[in-house]
Amino acid sequence: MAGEGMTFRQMLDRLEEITQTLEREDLELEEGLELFEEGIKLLKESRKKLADARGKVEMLLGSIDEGVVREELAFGEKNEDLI
Amino acid sequence: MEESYPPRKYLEEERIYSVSEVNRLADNQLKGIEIWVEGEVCDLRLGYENFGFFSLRDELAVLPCVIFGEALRSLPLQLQEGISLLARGVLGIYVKKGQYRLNVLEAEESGEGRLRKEFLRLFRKLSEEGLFSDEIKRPLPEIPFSIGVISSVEGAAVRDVITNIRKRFPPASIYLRSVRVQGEGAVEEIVDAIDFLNRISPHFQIEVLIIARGGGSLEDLHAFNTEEVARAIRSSRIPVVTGIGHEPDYTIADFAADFRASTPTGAAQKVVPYIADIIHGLNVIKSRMESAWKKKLDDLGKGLEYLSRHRCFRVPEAFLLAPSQTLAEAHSSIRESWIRALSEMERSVQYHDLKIKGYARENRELPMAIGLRQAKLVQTIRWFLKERDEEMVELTHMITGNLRERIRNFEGSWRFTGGKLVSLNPLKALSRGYAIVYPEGSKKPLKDATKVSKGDQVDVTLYQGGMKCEVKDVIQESRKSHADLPDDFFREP
Repeated sequence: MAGEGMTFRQMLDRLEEITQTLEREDLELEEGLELFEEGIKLLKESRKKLADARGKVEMLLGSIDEGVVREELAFGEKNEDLI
Repeated sequence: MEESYPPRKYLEEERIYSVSEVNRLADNQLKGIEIWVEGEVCDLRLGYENFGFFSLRDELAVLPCVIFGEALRSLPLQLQEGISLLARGVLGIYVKKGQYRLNVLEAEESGEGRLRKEFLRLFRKLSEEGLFSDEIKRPLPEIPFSIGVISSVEGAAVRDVITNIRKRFPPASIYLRSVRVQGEGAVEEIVDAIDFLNRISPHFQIEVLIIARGGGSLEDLHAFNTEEVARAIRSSRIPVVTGIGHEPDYTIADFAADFRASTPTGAAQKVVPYIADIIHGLNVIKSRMESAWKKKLDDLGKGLEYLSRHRCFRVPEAFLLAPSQTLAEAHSSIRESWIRALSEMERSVQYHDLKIKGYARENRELPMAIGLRQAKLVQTIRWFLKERDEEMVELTHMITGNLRERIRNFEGSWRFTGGKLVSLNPLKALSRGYAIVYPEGSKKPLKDATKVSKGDQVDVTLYQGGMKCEVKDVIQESRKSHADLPDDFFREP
């Protein structure tokens, strides 16, 4: 799938590259069609990455030697109204 | 020293004391201790000319002080944050609040505040060393999806950082390492947290660290003015952003960081972009891509139309006529020139024949030999002509064959491109069972059900034929799954 293993930044850079190539006059139709399809897939992927993921908020306790404990933090969500 | 303190009063063990009694008791214990003390002025609050509250401090402790009326007015200096003060006063407890303090009777300045001096010394040392130079600053990630935060979980700063990151860029994950941000152990915990987050970053893909703390006095911010913390920030592999204190507060940690924000909120704003900006950027890319693609198809369509009007497609024979005529002309002129050459040769042979026949009358043996050579010559010329003739035929086949081949290829790519154009035609979708709905009398397709009302007439176009319909009901359900994204964020091409 397009965009797999790419960072978000890399996806944006590739999209810009595709767009600039598409904007070129001398592009062959076949190549253009491939790029256009890749671009649309990348747009979908990047949107998915933005819209689907809701980041975690965790406090990391403990130590590397004795084990790290992850504890979910609520504020920013539940306590948002209080601020 | 201890013997000079007032003797300890015996408390009645059975009695229950009131709060004010306890405070008064403690006050009585302290009263009468008059001392000179030297320290740096901090947490200064002045109430006109009648009183002043401040603290005196050294590296280890803070002493709350109060100065009243005449003592304040007769001070030989202006009380200021950070100055070193030598003060004489009496100890006591403000009974109402149970606050221990020194009631200052007189004071004089005792040189520059030690902490400020220490700050300047450390600043000069580290900047000479190049620890603050721009060249060694690491670039911040533009769109981080994983952020490490070092702050006290109990402080307001951490809340500012997290809520602002959440608000601006919800996909980012935040990993907090809670530390003490002042007092004993703070330096060690901050240094350890920087190392900790660096070491676990491969697991959490942490892209940037935020060190945050709310505002405070120079004493409160002391941990961030230490060499240990500055060096730990510089030895982090992950870039570090500081958001410590309020706008004017600069700490050594700020100078060492890769970016210094003036507040915890500012740090969050610096670290993550607004998700709406990113989405806008994606929309711009999308429309640029689509219009470039549409232009490409339009250009191709125009090119094909122009080509299809070309004579070679309307009258392909005409296209071949000119070259084949040239070819035929060339062929015949070559042939003619060979024939001319041949007949000249024949004439010359005849001429020599006559001459030879003349000689022959005088010598009878010669004609036989000459006749033989003559026949051989004619044979050679014939053979030569035949060879050339064959070459010509072969060449002609090759040229016409090439032309045909080219025409075939051209036709093929024309069909291929044309086919693609047809498949991209939106009307083609109709053949797969889609329909287009127009409000009655309109040429613009309907995209939003709320644009019509119950009872309206609409025209429906199908692949074959169409219908005139009446709206029975309008359903206002949105197909979007993310209401916070702009309407035009994504459409299928």
